[in-house]
Amino acid sequence: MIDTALFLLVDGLTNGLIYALLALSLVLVFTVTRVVNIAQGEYVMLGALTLADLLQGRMPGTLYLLIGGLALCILLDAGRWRRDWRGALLFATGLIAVAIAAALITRMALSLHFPVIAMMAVALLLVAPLGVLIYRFTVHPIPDASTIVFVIISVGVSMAVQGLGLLIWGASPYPVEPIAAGGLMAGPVFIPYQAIAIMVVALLSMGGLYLFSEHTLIGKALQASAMNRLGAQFCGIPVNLAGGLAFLLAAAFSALSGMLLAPLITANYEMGFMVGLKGFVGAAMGGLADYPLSLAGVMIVGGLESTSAYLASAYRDVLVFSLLIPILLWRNARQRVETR
Amino acid sequence: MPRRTLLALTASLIFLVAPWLLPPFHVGIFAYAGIYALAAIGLVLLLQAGQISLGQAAFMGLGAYGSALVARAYGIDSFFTLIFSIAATALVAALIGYITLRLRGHYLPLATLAYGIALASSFTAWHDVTGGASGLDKIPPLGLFGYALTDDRLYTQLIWIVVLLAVLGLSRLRNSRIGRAIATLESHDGMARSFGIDTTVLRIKVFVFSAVLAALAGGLYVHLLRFVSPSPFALLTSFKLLIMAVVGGPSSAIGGVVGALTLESAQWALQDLLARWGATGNLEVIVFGVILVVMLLKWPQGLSPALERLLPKAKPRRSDGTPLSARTLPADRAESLLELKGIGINFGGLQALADVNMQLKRGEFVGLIGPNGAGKTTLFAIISGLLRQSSGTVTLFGGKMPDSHSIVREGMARTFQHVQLVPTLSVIDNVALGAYWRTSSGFMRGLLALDDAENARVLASARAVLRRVGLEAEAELAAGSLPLGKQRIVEIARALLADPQILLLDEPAAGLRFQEKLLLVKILRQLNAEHVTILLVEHDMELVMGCVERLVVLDRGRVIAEGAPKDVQANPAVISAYLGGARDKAA
Repeated sequence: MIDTALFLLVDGLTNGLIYALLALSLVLVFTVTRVVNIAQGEYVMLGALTLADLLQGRMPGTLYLLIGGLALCILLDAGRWRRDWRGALLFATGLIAVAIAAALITRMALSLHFPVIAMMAVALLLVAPLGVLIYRFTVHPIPDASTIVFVIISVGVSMAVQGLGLLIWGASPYPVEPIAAGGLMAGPVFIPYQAIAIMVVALLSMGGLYLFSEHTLIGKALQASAMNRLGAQFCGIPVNLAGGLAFLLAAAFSALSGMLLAPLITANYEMGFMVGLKGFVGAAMGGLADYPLSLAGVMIVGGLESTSAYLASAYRDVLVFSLLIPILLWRNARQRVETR
Repeated sequence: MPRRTLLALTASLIFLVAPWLLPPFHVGIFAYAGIYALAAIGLVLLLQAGQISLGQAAFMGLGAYGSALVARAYGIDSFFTLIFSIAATALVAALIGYITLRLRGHYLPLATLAYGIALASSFTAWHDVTGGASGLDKIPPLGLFGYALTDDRLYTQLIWIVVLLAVLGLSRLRNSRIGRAIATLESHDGMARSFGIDTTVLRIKVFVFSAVLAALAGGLYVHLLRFVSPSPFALLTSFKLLIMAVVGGPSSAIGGVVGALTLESAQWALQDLLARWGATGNLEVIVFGVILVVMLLKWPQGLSPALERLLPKAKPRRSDGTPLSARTLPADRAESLLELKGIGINFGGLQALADVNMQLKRGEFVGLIGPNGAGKTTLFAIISGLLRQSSGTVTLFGGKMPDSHSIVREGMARTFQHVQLVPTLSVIDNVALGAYWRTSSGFMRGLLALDDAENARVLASARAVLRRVGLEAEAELAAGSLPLGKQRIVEIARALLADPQILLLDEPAAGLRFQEKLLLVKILRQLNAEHVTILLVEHDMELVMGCVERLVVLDRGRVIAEGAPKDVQANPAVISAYLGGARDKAA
């Protein structure tokens, strides 16, 4: 009995921390840009499948996505050539340089057979810039649109990216190697090394984000744009860059969570949506604005999930989602008291 | 006949004969587009009330399963089972609405997501009754008294008749008393309540009506397909409906139809085209997603406002009714209308008000002044029932304080320091909100356009008030397009239309130009001469001193002086409160 409970605890904690990285991304994107990003889960899929490709010695399809996106970016900039051809040339050259660098790094990683951790870094380099590109394509043109318009746009992005995932990788699942195989016995429970890796990486990234936003000027600028967009603009903070940065960091965190999750469940093109949804549920419990509360939220989701998977019944989803409503009512009431 | 009506009739006629002109395969697509349009129209109404729902498909599912299961098991005419399942869905929605509509911010969409998934999962999980994931076949067709509607063309025509009626009803509703009230729900809860709108009940009504449209759509779906399974009512469909509502444009019911037609035809056309070019099956999702993004970047307000600009303008509404009858106020100046005794309130550790005593007698013109942060706006919020005091009592018209949405009925109306107009509504519609409590047409009368005569009277009264405050020329402009000073005057006009005995004005002159201030003073004096009791908060001392007969000075949550303007001006406590100095040294 205690063995089971401990096992469920470890399992729930691992799941929860993976969703936590996602919830973190969602909160980051929402506070800085007011976008409730339904497509956040797709970076999870891209991260996992890119890593799978790299580990099996294939050129990852993500590279083509990145190059295509950069090309589109240059195309959208076409209007600038008339007014300011120097700037436009510089911009285009820069993007082409990024594309070439990404291709070279990937080639090198493949020919030198990097270890898993280094491959993860390469995959991160390929996926994270996609976040900035998507910000440039979908949010940058209409910064003042309403929340619901951004929600639907991100649904469109999610559909397109998932479709591209299916086109590139097909419907078959890919196994992904864990950072370290095996595990250790802690008393009566077996803890896989991957679970430990997940905990370490998740905690390190959260700590990193905290230090970044509290102790660097750029981090503080991000916080300022999150609090008051207009005010930040008046202080000379380029809020567009802040938005791009938020999308970049969020894409990186989500991709990371995909790479950590993939060895546990095998990667496929539609894995992102469900993970994204659970991250969203957790993040929304914190009102999409509060990091610690979002953490608590995803831990509840992770715990509910592993417990109900253990008690597997047909009514699992019914129970999990019905239980959510009283939690929401409680949070809502608390928040009203706090604001008063 | 006006061109717009002619156009609407022609368009409706095309929709109704289309099933007889289209090839059979396309009749099916057209029928399903109509069904989705119906459910999307429900979402449009919700969006107008500021609610985002990810559970609409679940209500479709309730309507579908309710009617299908009962008709299949008991052999009752499916017309009656459809009505039964709509009623049952309405009950469930009322219950869910009662529980979840108190949620604010992101909690509400999240709750809709939660019950959406929970309901949809229970269709699968309750295997013995619903047939589980594989579903149930042999669902009877739509029938009444033994006659069964099995012809797909007739059925499609029926669906579109229902859709067109829904569009007509909701367009009528938008211009009605309830429609104006719904427009306040998104972000003006406090204002709505001070003008007599019971926002809690109205939110639930809107939610239930939207669920009823979804249930009707679900019922029509299941008797057309004659097979029921859980997957069409899952989360994906809720997203699809929301996409339709937003792409079509939530500003009008037509948006639901435009969205459903655009999305369904885009989806089928893409599939057809890509298959013809020999592309593999998944390319259409990518293209679809990209089209969706591009459309919203181009038309963030949705397609229907863009379409609306191409159409001839609607004919002006009737505003020729006899104005609403107003009360005549007695001239007796001894009666106490409002009495505050020992009012105190804390926000956390901050004592915003402490032991405030004040009295308003009929016909008085009282100014409430004090430096910034003195507690004037908080006191207003307590007087108008939007905040509850921690201690002390408020006596209004000799009785205890009613609910915040009943205060205006007793005869007290107010304006707001931060202008609370619905920016997308026209000026005259904003003003007409003031007459909400003086009229009675409800949801159904608005839908069925039975409120025409009453609405004409309201608009006539609103126009008269606008004339009085000098804004008649701006009546049909969107309120958000006016400069701030004029918006404040619209606020006063709205309060006047509530036919108040007591008028509370929170900094009405801020942002007004000199000429506008003169007009304001003139109107206030006129009102006072008609025995309206006025309580005025204002920073423009010249204006205050020039028109009030008594002043109450508030500082740091306490009344520090009271009396005729002259005496108060000379009061040393007041001078030090405004200029600082003496008291701070003493403390």
